[in-house]
Amino acid sequence: MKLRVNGEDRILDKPLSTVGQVLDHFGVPWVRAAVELNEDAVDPGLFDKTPVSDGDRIEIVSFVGGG
Amino acid sequence: MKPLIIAGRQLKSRIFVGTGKYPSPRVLSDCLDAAGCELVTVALRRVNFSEPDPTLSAIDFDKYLVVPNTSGAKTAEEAVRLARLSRAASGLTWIKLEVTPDPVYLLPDPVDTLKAAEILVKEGFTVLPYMHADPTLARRLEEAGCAAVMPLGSPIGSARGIKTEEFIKIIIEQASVPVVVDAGLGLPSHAAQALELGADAVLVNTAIAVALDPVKMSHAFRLAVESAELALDAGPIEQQERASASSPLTGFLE
Repeated sequence: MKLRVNGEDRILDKPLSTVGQVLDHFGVPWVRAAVELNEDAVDPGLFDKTPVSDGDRIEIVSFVGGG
Repeated sequence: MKPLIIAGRQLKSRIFVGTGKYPSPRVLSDCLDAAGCELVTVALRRVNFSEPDPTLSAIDFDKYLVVPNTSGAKTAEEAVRLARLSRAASGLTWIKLEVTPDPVYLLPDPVDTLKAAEILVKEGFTVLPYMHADPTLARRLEEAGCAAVMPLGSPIGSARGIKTEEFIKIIIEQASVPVVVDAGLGLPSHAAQALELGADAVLVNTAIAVALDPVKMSHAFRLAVESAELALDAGPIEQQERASASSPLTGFLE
């Protein structure tokens, strides 16, 4: 399975079926993470219900220090 | 001073603190304590999977009102995109709107800031726009429904203080939303000056984070802000053209 995650192409041996599984795969805590799937923000309450498919573009963001 | 209320929420502390550039999460946490602040700002970035940013661990989201910014946005569209993601991540509708296409001075784009503000207000955000000290723009942002305006004193991180004083005074005179002087404050005296001009609050980041002793500097800013609040409540005297002797003008030796 191929996904473009945070601007990088990632080839995954094991297919992932939901946004929640993508977060888990990359070790990102769900709390205070936000995800964009093909440029649409995903409701955090639906991470485990939002399907991902081959070729999807995913942005995973979270808070950092800033002014 | 009249209470500081933004979007119906009263804030007792008039110093807002940015969370960028601290030497460690521990120092950041101690600085937030030392400032006695209630509102802190954060930025939104791509997660670095191999090296996650540790800043978040220093911020107690139950204790502080954490307001994400849209830093990095160069257009209204980018700012709106970041704001929507920030809302998803924080569950909060507050957003510090920044649209800064100029990489050298990080000056805000007034046209795209207003455009983004109009969209975000319609979507239910509590919008706090970073803006040039332009009274007309402040009025337009207020009319668009922004919850406060945040005019700059001087360029972000420049530590040059309030170079826009005359225009900030006009904004304060005309605004009916809170005025928060943001950007360029380098010394505690700059923060005190902002409040003495009539601003409702200040936002400080670099001056604290990059100081030799950030915690001590954070405390110094707190004292300056509290000092200005006390002074304003004490009723400052009017400026005069001529001297007015403090000592009696009688009983001189001959």
